Amino acid sequence: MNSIQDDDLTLLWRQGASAEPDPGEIARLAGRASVSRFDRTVRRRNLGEYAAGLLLLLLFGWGLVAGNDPALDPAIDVIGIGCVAFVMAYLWWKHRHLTPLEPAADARAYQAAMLTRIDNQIRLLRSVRYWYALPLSIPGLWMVLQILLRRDTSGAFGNYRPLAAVLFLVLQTVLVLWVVWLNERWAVRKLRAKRERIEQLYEE
Amino acid sequence: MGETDRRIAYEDLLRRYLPSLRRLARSYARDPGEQEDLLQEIALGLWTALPRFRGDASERTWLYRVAHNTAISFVTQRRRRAQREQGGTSPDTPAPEMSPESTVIEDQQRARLCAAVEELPLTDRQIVVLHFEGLSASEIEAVTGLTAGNVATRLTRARQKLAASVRGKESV
Repeated sequence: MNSIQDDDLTLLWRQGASAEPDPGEIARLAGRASVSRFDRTVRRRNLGEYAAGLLLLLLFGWGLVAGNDPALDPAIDVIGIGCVAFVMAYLWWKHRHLTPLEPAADARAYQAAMLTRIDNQIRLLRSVRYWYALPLSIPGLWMVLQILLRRDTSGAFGNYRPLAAVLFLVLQTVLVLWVVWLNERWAVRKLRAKRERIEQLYEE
Repeated sequence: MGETDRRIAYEDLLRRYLPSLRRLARSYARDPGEQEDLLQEIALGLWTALPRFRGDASERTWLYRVAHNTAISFVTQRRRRAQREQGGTSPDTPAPEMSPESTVIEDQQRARLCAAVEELPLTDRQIVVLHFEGLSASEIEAVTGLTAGNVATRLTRARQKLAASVRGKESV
């Protein structure tokens, strides 16, 4: 094959895997691609996002119904429910138009859709401190304030209430900073790397 | 589209296009295990996209759009893992697919061709694979979203590269 023609290349290419598919293989692929599997995956992903929020709602709801430390203002539970509901609603609002990428789009449109999706997610994560960390900190801060402003020593922790409040504040601050770092730095860095990979894929 | 109709249409698609999809998977993944994984991803992509197929584009155009886009998503996900596992080294030339009726030389040439195709830039690779699979210039334009001139230029350049690659390695 001194002078390789286009037909030669085409033939060479097709010879590699041109055997007729056997019915067993088709049945296997068809079985794996069942709609229930796909739907289950999507449902599981969505449920995971809201499960944590629901748990917090239940906790605050329980506190409201059963009553916490009588020395604490029941308003904490109401504030907690409001804050968690806000975060869940915000997440839902931001993802309300999120549908799977259209796989039948042309390659340019698909790339653009992938990049837009990543950009939106980066924007969302970079503002985590405002819509996630801050609202979820409010009930804790409210509780700390209440404890610090109280005079009597009845209820849990007794004389050690101020110390417990400060420890709680430190713990919450560390947790919030960790969540903010995890989202705004670590996750965003990973998304940017992914964006770069997608861009590089199409570059010459 | 009812569930039964969907399944019938899907199996019919696989029956007609599976060899072609397998070759397409080969152009994106060198490892046979990864090729198999990609083939399954493409099959799943076709299954989920099938109810939305309205016939605006030809069946072939639609199928290759889904297949290539699924492959790109697959490659994007896998590349990072592969780089981590291999320390960023370039993969070896694939083992030729031995079959009783093919000669050793043909197998070697095919392996060279596959390796050369995989080394092409993504867009050129898509164009070449679609061309090898018999799609017309207008169909290739519809799949890639590029203009006719761009497709023609890239195809000519890529074919020259591939021919040189297969020819060059023969004389060694």
